[in-house]
Amino acid sequence: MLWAVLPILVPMLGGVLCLAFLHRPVMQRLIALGVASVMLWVAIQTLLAVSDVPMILVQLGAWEAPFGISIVLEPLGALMIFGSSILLFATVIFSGSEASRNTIHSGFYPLVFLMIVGVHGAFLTHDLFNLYVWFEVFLMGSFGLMVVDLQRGSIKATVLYFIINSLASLFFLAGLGLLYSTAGTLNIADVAARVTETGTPKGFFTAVTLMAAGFLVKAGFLPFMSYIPKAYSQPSFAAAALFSGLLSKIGVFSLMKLFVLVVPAADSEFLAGLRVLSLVTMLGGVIVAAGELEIRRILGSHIVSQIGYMGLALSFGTELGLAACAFFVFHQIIVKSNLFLVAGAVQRASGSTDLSQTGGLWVARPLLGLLFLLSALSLAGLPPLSGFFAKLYLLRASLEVSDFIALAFAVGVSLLTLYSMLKIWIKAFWGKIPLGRTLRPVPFSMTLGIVILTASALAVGLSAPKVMSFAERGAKLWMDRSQYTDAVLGAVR
Amino acid sequence: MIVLYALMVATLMGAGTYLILQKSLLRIFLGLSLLGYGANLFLFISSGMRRGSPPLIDELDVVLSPEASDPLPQALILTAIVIGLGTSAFFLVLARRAADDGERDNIDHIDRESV
Repeated sequence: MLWAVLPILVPMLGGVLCLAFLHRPVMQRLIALGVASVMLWVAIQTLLAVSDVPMILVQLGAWEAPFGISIVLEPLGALMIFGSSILLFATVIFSGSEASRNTIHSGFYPLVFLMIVGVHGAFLTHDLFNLYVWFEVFLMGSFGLMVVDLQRGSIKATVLYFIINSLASLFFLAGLGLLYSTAGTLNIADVAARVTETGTPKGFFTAVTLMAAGFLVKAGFLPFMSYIPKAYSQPSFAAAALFSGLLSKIGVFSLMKLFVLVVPAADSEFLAGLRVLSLVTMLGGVIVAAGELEIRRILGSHIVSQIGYMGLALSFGTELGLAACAFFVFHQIIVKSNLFLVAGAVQRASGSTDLSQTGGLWVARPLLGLLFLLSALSLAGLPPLSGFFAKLYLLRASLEVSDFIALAFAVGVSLLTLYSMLKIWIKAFWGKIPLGRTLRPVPFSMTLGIVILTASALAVGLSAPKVMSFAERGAKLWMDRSQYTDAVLGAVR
Repeated sequence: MIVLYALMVATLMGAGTYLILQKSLLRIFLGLSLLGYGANLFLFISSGMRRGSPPLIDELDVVLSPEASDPLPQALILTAIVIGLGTSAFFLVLARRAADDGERDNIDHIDRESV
């Protein structure tokens, strides 16, 4: 029971504690590290807690299901929380040497924890309006993180990010209103039960489309993706790692909730639309990435491409597809964020992340090179790294529904991914140090943060079947609508 | 009644859309606010829109009569308004900061040097 709410309460407590010591940076760092460790332990406990029961249910304020807000801890959500907790732990360590005293004075750590509170809330809640509120909570945290050390960057990226995300939230809000007036409820399980019983009400299609539009923008599917590379190269590297690991992934996770739990399986128009968008997004993202010359922009464009993979896995509409999607998200939370941290180390070592100004890191910083290589190859999908299994399960899911176009796209886009990663490798790690530049040392805590994430990625790769069987258990729970609705609405029905 | 509300939502959304397509940060801010009001009114329509039927439980009844308008959307709107206030404040500070940096109130000209 308690495990379902601790992932929200622990970072909240961390944020409040850090706020109390706002003017004592050392203290804040220690608190942040302590709370992040506790969060990691809690995340492991939640994984264990849902490994023998299907789900842990908390009705907030003891209001029974359709009236109150249902917080549901189930395997998929627990997996996401585990990923975000590993990421939080590594980023807090990394930021120990990245975040300056000024940044910490301006509230870097409270904002990080505020964002994590929103993210975990969004993973756990099974109420659509509550999901909207959590969205706004982590958006506020991310807005803050974008401007917390404003002197280093530009306002323009923040303005763009703000406008697009506010619009996406409004779409989501309007969709919510329409859904409430047609279905009469916003509890996901209750909507699912009503839709299964009496068919989709009038206006349901429009409502779901509006909400999906909001999620698609936040996830960064193709027509709406242009803000992602810009926004993710604005904040500090630690914050950018958190953004890349969590923000767009929540869009995907919410799409999973919407298309699997809310929309009945018979309505496959949504999934067909998602499939086309995903294919375009996969290809578009890597093509944009191929033209970029700044590491963070390359990585940002790759996020978009990888989001396409997740959407594709989801669009198969099968249990295996859903599990593959969840596995892919989990793998991305760790690997993609790690690449942002590596970019931070590259910036620290060579003073720039512009690929025309870097070079020679492989000879001078072989450990960094090795860490980058492991993550980059994992992203491209080489065995036995986690990315290989993420793509393997995706391909298996596409074969199951004999979708060969998807198969061709997934393999082709992988090759293009490898191209961009090789570009970073050749320009930043090979070659000579540019004239007039000297390499600076990379602080120990930065390296440690990257090592932790790389080790986690390796562990995920090595224990992939185990993670996948866990995800499949979660997917089975989601796909079996009557079991899910009965479990959440239990007392009422 | 509902047609009147629909027209109001359409007007607000239309004006908001026009304003966020402008280049001035202040107009974008106003546009976002109008869109927010539009979305909130849109939410309000889901409460049933019946005149003279407040969501009050009669003295002798235990539950709300089915004719009463639904109070929940009003609670939802209240939450959305509070959130909107917070984000608006953030955006205004951002616009102010752009002005302080010596640039005009134009989205193309903020931080000219860094893009």
